[in-house]
Amino acid sequence: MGEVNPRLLAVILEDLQQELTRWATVASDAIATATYTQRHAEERVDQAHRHAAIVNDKVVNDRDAVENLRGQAEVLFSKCVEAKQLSHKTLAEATIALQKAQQTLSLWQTELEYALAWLARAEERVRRAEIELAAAEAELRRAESELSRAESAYRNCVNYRDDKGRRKDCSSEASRVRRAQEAVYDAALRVKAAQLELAAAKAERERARARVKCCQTAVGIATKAVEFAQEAKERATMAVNASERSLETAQAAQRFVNQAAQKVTEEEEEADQMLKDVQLAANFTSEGQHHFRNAERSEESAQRLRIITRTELDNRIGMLYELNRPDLGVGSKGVSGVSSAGHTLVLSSDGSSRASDMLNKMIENRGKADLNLPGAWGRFTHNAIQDYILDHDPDAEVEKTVAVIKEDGSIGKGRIDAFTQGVILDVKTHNLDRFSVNELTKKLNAFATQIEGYQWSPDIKGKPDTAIFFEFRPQKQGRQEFVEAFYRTRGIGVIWGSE
Amino acid sequence: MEDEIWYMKQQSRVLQEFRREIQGFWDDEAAREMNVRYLNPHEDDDTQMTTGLDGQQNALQEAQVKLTSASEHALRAEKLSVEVLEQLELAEQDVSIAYQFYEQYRDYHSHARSFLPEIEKLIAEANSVCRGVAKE
Repeated sequence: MGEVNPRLLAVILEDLQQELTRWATVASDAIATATYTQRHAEERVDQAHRHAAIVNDKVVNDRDAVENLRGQAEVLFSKCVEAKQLSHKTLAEATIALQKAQQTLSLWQTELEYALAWLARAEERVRRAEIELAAAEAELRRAESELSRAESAYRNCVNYRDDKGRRKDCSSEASRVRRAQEAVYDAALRVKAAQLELAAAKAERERARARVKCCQTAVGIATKAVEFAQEAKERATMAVNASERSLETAQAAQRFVNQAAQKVTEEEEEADQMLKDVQLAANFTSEGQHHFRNAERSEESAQRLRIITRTELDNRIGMLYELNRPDLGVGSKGVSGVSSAGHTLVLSSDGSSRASDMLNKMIENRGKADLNLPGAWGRFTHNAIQDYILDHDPDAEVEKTVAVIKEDGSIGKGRIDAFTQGVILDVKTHNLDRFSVNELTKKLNAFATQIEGYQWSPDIKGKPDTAIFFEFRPQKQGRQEFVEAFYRTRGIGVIWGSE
Repeated sequence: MEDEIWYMKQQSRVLQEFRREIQGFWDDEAAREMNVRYLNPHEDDDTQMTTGLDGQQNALQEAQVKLTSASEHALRAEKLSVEVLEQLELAEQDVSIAYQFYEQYRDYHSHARSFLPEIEKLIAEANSVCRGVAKE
């Protein structure tokens, strides 16, 4: 190695410090993102566990509901099967009863026909017996009349005396009387026989009438039995229909239950698979956590080494500057140029005090001005810019505390970096390249909300213009245009610092 | 996270390239000591960190695949649950209708059965009305 200019080496070492600082920032950001991503992943796994539990509960409830309804459907099905059997049995009994009732009715209708025919014959016999009796009585009356006349003729003959006192021969009259007497006797016998026949005919007619009457009663009762049997059969048929429809519907219900059970089985499989996947996701997340812990430990170790390196480099640079440029300019009133690891701020500022006061205070407290301390560079940048503004606008207000109306309507406090020439200026030292697009959008929105809060503060008169000073112009393609376009829509000016 | 890891690797690469670039300018004892004691271990830690982050990212991507799959299973399970409820609703409707038919059956059946003894009685009565009454 040849001789190297101490100042050049100091610059090289400062650049190394800058690279290390950039590395530190990026590493911190990467770990922060990894932390967030890990936490987010674990939260998602937790959510998935809860979701899986909910799905599983639902499956259990569905299974219970299916089994409950299956039990109901089975009880119903048994009842319907029994109902169908009983209704068919009753229909058979009703059919037999109807046949029996119809046979009974038919029997007694036939008997009634027989009885009616018998009665008709009995009536005819009575009619004939009455005619015979009337004829016999008429003949008897005629025979008795003839007898009377024959007896009268006979007496006249017996009592007759002619002029000579002689009697007549009365034998013919006596014969007439005997014939008339025989005729009366025969007629009387005929009347007697006719009377007997009439009595017998009437008795038979009464028997036939009694038979007809009982047969009519039997037919009436049998007819009622047939009507009842028809009604019973009709009801039994309707019972069969109802029981069969009940059975068919119960079977349909069972089919639906079976389909539901099949779907619950599928649902259980899906829930099981989901649980397995969630468990695997949890395992992978744990694995991720393990890797993350390793990365975090390595990053912590690397950061420790970087800090030690930086201290060593500070010493080395200090020595080199002692060799070549003993005075950094700190301690004087103004700051004309300052470089920190990863940052370079160049302002033309005469008589500034805030930034130099800060550096002096650091030297006083720590023995040196170390702008790599957390937040130091940002604070220094704010002070330097505020000094610059105050140099050019003595009426400017810096670090102005104002009331701010929050989103929920409550009042909070805010501190304006600078209020100069009617413009509210907010200073941002963020590296806009390190954000993802989503994060960048959120950040830009947060910055805008902050400065708009100052703009609408009740402590600020009117509505001043606003601008944001970004220390670093982003290097990623399109970022600068994106930021400018974003704030253009919000009416906020953008001032870029160094490249 | 992929962007951050990529950016991290880029920054690491830039740092290490820078270290290599300045080797020609800064090669004294202090440089060697600082490399051996701090910067080389720092590089090792850096490599382990990026390896860890890669491992984490891969694991979390696998986890995400499983979560996506779990979510799909959950969707299917929820869809099936809805279908189960629909089937059960249809089954409940049929159970209700079947009970209505069953009640009709019970009504008709009890009526039908109530006639049977009466019919038997009427048939017996019809057959006994003419008992003792003479026939021709």
